[in-house]
Amino acid sequence: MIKFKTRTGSSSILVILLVVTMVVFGVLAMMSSYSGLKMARKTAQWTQDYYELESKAEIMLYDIKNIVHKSIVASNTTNQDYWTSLNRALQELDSSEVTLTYDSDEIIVKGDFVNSSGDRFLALLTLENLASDTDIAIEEDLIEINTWKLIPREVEYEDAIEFKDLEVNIEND
Amino acid sequence: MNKKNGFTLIEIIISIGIVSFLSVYLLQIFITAKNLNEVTYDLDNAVIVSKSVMESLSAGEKIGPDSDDIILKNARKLSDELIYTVKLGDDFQPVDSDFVDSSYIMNITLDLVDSSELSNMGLYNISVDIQREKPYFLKSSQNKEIYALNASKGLLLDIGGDTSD
Repeated sequence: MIKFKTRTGSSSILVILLVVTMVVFGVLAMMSSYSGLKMARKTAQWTQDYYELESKAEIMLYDIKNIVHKSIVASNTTNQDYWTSLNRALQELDSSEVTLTYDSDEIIVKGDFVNSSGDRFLALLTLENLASDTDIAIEEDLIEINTWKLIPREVEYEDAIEFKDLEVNIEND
Repeated sequence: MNKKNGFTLIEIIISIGIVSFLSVYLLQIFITAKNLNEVTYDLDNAVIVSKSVMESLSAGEKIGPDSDDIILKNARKLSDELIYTVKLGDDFQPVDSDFVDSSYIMNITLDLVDSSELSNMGLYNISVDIQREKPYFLKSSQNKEIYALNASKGLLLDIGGDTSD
């Protein structure tokens, strides 16, 4: 055991130890808080990106629903007229983002939307040719949504903590 | 012998001086950590609540007292346009601001872009934004926007309630 000749200055050592301990805990608390905030911001950004892309798919779905309704009205409730009218009207939607695949039994609409961050939203809809004229009345069954999902970009994890970013954000808050 | 034990007055004064000097920086660290935690709490909850409102509207919930969604049920119409406001408490649940102090304000704005009488549907631009009424600890800015979420959705034309203050 080390024996000191005098106890002068021991209180200062105690205080410095206390301060160092508190600084360590303080920095740890701030680091964990900041990593939590970074995760929250990432989730918030992902949510905004999702709804930005989903909006494009929603607009496509809204247009298709309108086309289906117009085709029903124009068809005089006969299946052949409805299908012909629908085929013709849907061609308006064909673009770089929306592709149509025609078949005798069904039309497949594929909406593939990409944003600036590289996320993709895929919407696959099927419009079936109805077996009988009476089915036209059942509007809910006319459009079948097969796929409606976001395909996220690859995530790169960064371990480094950017304290310069922290300073700016605290000032803004 | 007893005179050699304990701390001298000089030692105590120096210790108090060091502690008071460093505690300013220490406190700043702890206050920053506390505020960061609050910002995270606000942002996380704002995202959850905004998403919940967006999905409820998408599922066909109407805004007003008849709604099953607790937030849409408490939404109050601000003007003739489709702008609604909801007062939220500390736990991000709707509160009656006449009796309880609210901590957050949620604004829901519906903007009709296109409508179709045939299908009784309209294409709406929906905007949900949440503001914090109280400032953060040792900060002055009030009514700070925490989060805003925008989306376009095809909704029924009678989605808007008729509640007004």
